[in-house]
Amino acid sequence: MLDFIVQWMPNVVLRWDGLVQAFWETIILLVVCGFLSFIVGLFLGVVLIVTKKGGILQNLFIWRILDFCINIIRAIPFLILIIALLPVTRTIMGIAIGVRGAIFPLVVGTVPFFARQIEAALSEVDSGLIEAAQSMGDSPIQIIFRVYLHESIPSIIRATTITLIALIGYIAIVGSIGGGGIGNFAIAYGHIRNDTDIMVIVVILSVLLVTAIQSIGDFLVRKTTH
Amino acid sequence: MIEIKNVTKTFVTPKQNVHACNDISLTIEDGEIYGIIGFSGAGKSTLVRCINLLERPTSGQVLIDGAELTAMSETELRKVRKKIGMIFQHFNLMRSRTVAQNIAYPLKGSGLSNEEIQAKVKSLLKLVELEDKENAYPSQLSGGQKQRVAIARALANDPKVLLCDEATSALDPQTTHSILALLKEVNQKLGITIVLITHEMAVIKAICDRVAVMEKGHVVEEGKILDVFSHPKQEVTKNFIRSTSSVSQIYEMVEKNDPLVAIKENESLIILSYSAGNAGEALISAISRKFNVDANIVFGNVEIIANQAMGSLVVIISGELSDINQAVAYIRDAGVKVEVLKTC
Repeated sequence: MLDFIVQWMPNVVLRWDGLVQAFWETIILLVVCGFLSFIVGLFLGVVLIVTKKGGILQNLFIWRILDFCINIIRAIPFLILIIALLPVTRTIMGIAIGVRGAIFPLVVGTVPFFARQIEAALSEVDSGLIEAAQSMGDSPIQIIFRVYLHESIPSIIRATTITLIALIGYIAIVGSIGGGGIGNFAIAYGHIRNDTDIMVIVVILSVLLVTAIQSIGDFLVRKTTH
Repeated sequence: MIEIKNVTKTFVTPKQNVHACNDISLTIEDGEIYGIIGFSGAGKSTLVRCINLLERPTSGQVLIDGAELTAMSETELRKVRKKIGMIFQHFNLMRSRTVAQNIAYPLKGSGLSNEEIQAKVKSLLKLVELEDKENAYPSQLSGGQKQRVAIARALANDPKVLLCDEATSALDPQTTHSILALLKEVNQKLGITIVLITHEMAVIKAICDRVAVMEKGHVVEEGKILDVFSHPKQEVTKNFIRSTSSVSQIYEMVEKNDPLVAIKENESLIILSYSAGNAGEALISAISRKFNVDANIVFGNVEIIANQAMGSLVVIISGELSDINQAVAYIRDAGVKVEVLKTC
């Protein structure tokens, strides 16, 4: 078995430590940026829903600004967004490369995407439920937590799954311009040095990672759907 | 007591202003079941939402037990709403919560301990006869069961008032009947005032004490159920009453010249409408004896409304025209409404 690996994937064996390091960086970025984007995106998604016309805390001023900003960021291709953000990233994080330098542009790129998904998930909540909660004397804050968020848990999980998988793609893009992770590794060795076995192993790892996230997401959706 | 004073609700749209409720004043007494009937678009759903201010009236006042809801802040209003239960056409249960969790929903923040909440849920489940469904999810229930859960939820905070917005409109007739029986029970056992919106006269007839008929944002007729049923004034009310009775078919049959209602020379087709006191009298045999006419009952029905018998008979009278006229006058004198549909 070992002989087989050494024979067919010599560079993988040679760069094993680097590969593990790169994969680990990707996981860290996924967890850190996924977590931050989840919190901020969920918050902004809720703000979009409650401040829109007819929402429980209608405020068209806030809604228009937020809607506009999200559209702007989503309109910029991610690669260009990272480059445009470089000075801001350097100011905020102190560095614009490596894992630390990748976090800020990743969160900025992911949040609008996730906020829109949350907006879509929450807008599926039957307006009759909001009305029922109001008739029972719930305050807007209670309605947000006990109706909007609680009742759309399966949809929120689905949105999170999609976003995490999109985030893996974003992490690879950041990696390609010095952000660390397996994207960086694949370019440095698989592409520039033309080590095919490196490319193969990176593809396999990516597929495994995405499959794992999707399976966990599907499982949680099943568990929470009644 | 619920007092609705000059309530107007106008929805402003770019094209036009829609007056869903137009200067409506009603008083609903404690402990009664008050029905509001109207065709869709009549404004009845808006009116019931003006009672708990889910819709804030454009002008006018809403008072419950003397407290003016329309003058309250949102915070005060939320407190008052806890004492006004509401059920809906589509039940509006939380899908992610079990039956027990749905019923306990409004009890959060009520100051009750977990044990007290559980005991409360148990007793409500017993009231609505769903003790075995405690841990079921709404998706596992039938429509009637869902409405029972919704009723239990609406009663959780021991409200004084229960608002029912088309609560039986999505249910089949048999289930409607059982839900209405439950509402009646809730009204009598717990003394809860019920305001009920519907487009079905059968619902009003089954449980209401008083009724208001709405048309185009106005209350066009209002009164005790028996009075409205026996002496409807407005055309819309008459339409609603006809819709519940098989006698209404007679109008169509007359129009289509159905053989059942075909009359020959010297005959008249008439409808007698009995109300409360006079349903018992033997008018048909009396007119045959007194006026030398024959009375042939084509069909009829008698219904129980507000615990009183009311009914209609469709009769073909044959005889000399003068005799027929005398007979009709005699029946009218006895307090029975007579409508002559056609004469030959």
